[in-house]
Amino acid sequence: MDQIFQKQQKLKEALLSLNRLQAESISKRLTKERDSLSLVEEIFIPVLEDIGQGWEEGKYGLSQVYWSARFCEEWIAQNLLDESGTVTDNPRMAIAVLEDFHSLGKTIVCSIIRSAGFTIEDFGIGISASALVEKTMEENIEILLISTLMLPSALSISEVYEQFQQKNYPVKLVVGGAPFRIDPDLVKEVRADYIVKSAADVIKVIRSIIQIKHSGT
Amino acid sequence: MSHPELTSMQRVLTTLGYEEPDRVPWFLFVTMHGAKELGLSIEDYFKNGKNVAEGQIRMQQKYEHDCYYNIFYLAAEMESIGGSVIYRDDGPPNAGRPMINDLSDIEALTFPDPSESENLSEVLEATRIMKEEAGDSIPIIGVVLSPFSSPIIQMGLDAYINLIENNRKAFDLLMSKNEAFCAAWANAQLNAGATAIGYFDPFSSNTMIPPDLYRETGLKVAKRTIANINGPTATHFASGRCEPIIDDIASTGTALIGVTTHEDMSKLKKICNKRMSVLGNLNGIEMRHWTPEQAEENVKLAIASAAKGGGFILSDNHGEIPWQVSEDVLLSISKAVKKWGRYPLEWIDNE
Repeated sequence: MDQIFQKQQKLKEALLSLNRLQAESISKRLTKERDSLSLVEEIFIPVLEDIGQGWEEGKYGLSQVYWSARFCEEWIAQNLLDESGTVTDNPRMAIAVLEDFHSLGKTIVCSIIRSAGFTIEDFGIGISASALVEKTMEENIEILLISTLMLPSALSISEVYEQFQQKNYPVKLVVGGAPFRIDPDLVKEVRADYIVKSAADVIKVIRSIIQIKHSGT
Repeated sequence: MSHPELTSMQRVLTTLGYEEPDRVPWFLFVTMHGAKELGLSIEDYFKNGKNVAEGQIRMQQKYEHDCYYNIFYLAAEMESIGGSVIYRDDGPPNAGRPMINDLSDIEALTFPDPSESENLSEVLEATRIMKEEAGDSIPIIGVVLSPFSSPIIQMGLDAYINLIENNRKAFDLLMSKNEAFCAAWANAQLNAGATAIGYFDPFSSNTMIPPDLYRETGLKVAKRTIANINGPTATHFASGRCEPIIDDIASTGTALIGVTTHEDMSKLKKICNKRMSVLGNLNGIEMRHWTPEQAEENVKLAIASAAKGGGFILSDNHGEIPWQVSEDVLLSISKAVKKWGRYPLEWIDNE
């Protein structure tokens, strides 16, 4: 079996069983063996994506996705920060929970994005459409991630979209949350650019936006 | 052979006894739509139990489903202990910011006697009026948020997961307080006339936590709590998956489980094997834009998957119909149930 795959599996098992000591011990060993960039790119991110995919398929619980993402974010911040804390081509990104107060999805997504070396601003929870648009424009955000749990909050993303259109402000809208998983057509209805169905998607989506930006399409 | 016409109560009891009634029973979990019926705002509608009872009675007459549903909104339980609730004009009142912010808040947490609580007493009043109207002919479904899932709105999900990982003593204290309130709240609803209690427990679903953690935590909580509820219960995971824990759920003594659209209802019914009936699983969110033909097709699919032999109640997958679902769609579902739900369902074998 491929050595990297074996290492990924060991870390994944420790994370899924919420075994902090084991996860720390494996991560410590890996940190000695590899440079920070390959540790993040070849171990942490693939493992988080694999766990996110497993959740999407019904194999794991959201608590495991949350715990794994938080562990990786903390480990990287405490042990690799100087070397891998930033990506050279980091678009200005922000995340918020629109209108409701269920913050878990936002926390997971933030952790994964930061684990991949990107920086992202956290606009908080319970924010209104108008306040979100205003803050996004003030901070010159290029990619806005919006998390929702309740259907009415998800539908309010249309209002966010319309306000950006009225103000002629170019921003990529990336959405996620339970209503989008139950109704796959909802993303089109609210006119978002991308959907993040699980933790497995978020880095791919961000890199895809960056790539499209560079190719000028 | 056709079956004689039954009352809603007879229909539901027959299916829960794993026999085929006259037609497939269906629970239409409409809450906010009652405000439309009475021409009120959602906020004004839920201020008064008489409104909610009147709304439920009118909606049952219109859609001819087989229950009254006494819940106002899930955040009402948190509101009764001082939490904030945010009203909106296009959805259910939603819980505001979490009110448990540290361990001392868990120690200080106290619950009211439901009959003396300003908002919960309105739910009880609504239940009493529904009971006067229904007598023994229409079941009244009461609702509690499980003690294990309540902390999601009491303290926020991230903080709650951290509590389970790091401080089981505080978790146990929170559970003991929530369990006592949950049983008292359920029993108050039963005493007011509710026929059965919907035990909403999304955090126990496999979508939220792995089966092993459920067996260590939510299962034990459910067993203790359901044992103290003096009536039948239906466990609902509010769109969460539950297949790997079916045997565990059956051991809690619950009579019925709510099934998500993400799971195969036919398979789940087989696994339940007459230990529990299944309830589900029309997609409430997609329902917003169904045509009459799609409504009919989805009703047929659900009936074909799980209705034969009884042990099945048709409903949505989440336990609440979104505000955005139109009256026309609900009437189309009602019409389809009457057309395709008549036992012995011979059409299933012919299609």
